[in-house]
Amino acid sequence: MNKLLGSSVMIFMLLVMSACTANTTNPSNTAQLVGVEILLNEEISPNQATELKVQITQGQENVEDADDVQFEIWRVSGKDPSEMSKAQHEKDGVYSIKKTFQDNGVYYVQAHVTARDIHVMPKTVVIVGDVSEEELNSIKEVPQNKEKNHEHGHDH
Amino acid sequence: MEVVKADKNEQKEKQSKKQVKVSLFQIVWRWHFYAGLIFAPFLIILAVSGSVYLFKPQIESTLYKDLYYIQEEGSSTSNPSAQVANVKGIYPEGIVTSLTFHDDPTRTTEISLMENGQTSSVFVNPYSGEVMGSLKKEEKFTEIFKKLHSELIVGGTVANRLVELAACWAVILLITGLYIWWPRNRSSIWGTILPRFNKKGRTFWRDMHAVPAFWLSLFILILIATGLPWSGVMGEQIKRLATSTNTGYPPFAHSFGEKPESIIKTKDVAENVPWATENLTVPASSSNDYLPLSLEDVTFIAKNEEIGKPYTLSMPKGEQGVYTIATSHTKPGDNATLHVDQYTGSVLSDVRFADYGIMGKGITMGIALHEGRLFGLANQIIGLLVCLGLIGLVISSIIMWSKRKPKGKLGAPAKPKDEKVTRIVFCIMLAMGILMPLVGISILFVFIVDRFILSKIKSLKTWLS
Repeated sequence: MNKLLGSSVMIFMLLVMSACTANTTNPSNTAQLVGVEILLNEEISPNQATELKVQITQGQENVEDADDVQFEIWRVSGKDPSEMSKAQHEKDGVYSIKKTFQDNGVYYVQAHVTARDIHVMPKTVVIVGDVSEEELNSIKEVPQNKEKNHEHGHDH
Repeated sequence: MEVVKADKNEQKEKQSKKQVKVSLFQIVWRWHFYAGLIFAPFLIILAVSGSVYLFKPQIESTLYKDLYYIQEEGSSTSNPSAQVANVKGIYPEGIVTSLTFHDDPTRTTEISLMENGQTSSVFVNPYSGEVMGSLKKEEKFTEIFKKLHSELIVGGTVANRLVELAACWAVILLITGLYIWWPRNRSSIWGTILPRFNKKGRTFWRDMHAVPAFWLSLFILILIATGLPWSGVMGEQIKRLATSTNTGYPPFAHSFGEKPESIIKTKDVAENVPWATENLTVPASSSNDYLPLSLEDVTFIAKNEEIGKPYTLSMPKGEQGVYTIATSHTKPGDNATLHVDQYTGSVLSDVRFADYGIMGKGITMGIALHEGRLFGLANQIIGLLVCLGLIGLVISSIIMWSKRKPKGKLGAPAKPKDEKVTRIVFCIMLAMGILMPLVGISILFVFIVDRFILSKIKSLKTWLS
């Protein structure tokens, strides 16, 4: 009886202490990253149409079947709401919009890309025309909050 | 008293045949006695601090009501960047390390702030953006009990090891106690699974110790087992076992091929990350010309990836850092840790509860059970009852001992005559010491002290015997 108790307690302890050692398969459920590169002209002037492009890749492959590609543009200093524009596929995974900036200034350009069930949203800055030192510095100072309804931009 | 005497008489009658059994009983009792004597104070500390910490949500909600709760003011909320900006306005020297968003619409946003090497929580009204006040982390009421529970206030490795040592010895107390409790000559339920209330003196207190201990043993064992993953020695072993058998957490490397890896571990970067993912290497963001994303973008990503509130959003550390979105405070099934590239918003790694290996899942559930949040209030109450029971066991054992203890002597159970049995049990204990390394070390330590120092002091020897 005692032996039985002793050994059953020991077995139970071993179970508790070492727990289960069964193997599970490696979950590799996350797909390969989607790369998004924003391509801009080196110089952008006000009141002149310019092309904003993104190159979308996954691994070595160009992504030509992106579900949704949008550009969001808003001025760094200022309270104007951002504007969203849907980009069209050109070729080889490059999507673009035509954009005319009205005023000199510093703008945020953020690409919202949904492709292969992955969402990527890189953001960069464009300088349009002549910009005062003050406005240039504002990039560093202004918290990047946008005065806009964020949900709107992400309806997809 | 009578029964124990009767037991002893019975045993004496059959001594020739049962010499071994008696010796075994005596030596196990001796182990139980000394282990109990030494670790009872620690077990009391753990039980008291644990029962308070179990009710952390309720206690903090009451104590910090003015910081935690605000009136819900419609649906328009102040965005996270503005909330952070307001905090920075008040604490210009502070560095915001993380934000915690709660699911309760009347809860404030909790923003963690590092200022002069101190971590504090700043609470912000999510509707107006108003800063409600702050709390230093180590001054939080429940934090004190957590510190008592995990490192006996004094802190440091030694205290943490002491807690683990006490927990492991509690396992031995359970095993030896169950052995002593085991009904050998009696088949009565009285005194085994029900106490004999009509008895007085030591028998009554023996029943008040052994009977509840029998009922509580499984629960105490569960509490100890689920607490061990935190411990320094056993916990590390468990983690190593989980890693080596690939049953802990999924290795991030298999999901993404060639990504730059920083050597910073999640533990240092993110707060409130679930246990099982603490040792994941944090993937570094790909550094390029892009600007860091705004907090709004990251909260959007959290929503997009179906991370439910409450979750904690940790800020990137340095240029190669990542945003980390982690949730572990609700039911284990909702556990998730996401590392998000701070420039592109790419989800670099996404580990959910479902991705954990079987041990990772088990330990995660165990921890939730230990902290009383696996199944709500009932879980907390069961935890409390076990803690109170444990305190009761210590008290009844002390009373029992005081009724047996002769004056001027420790009153330890007699040494068995059979040296062989003593040695066998010693070896069994050492074997358990291999399973629980701290136990092994402490047994060897006591053995050496006893053999070479205590045995040289005559007066101490008579007191101890």
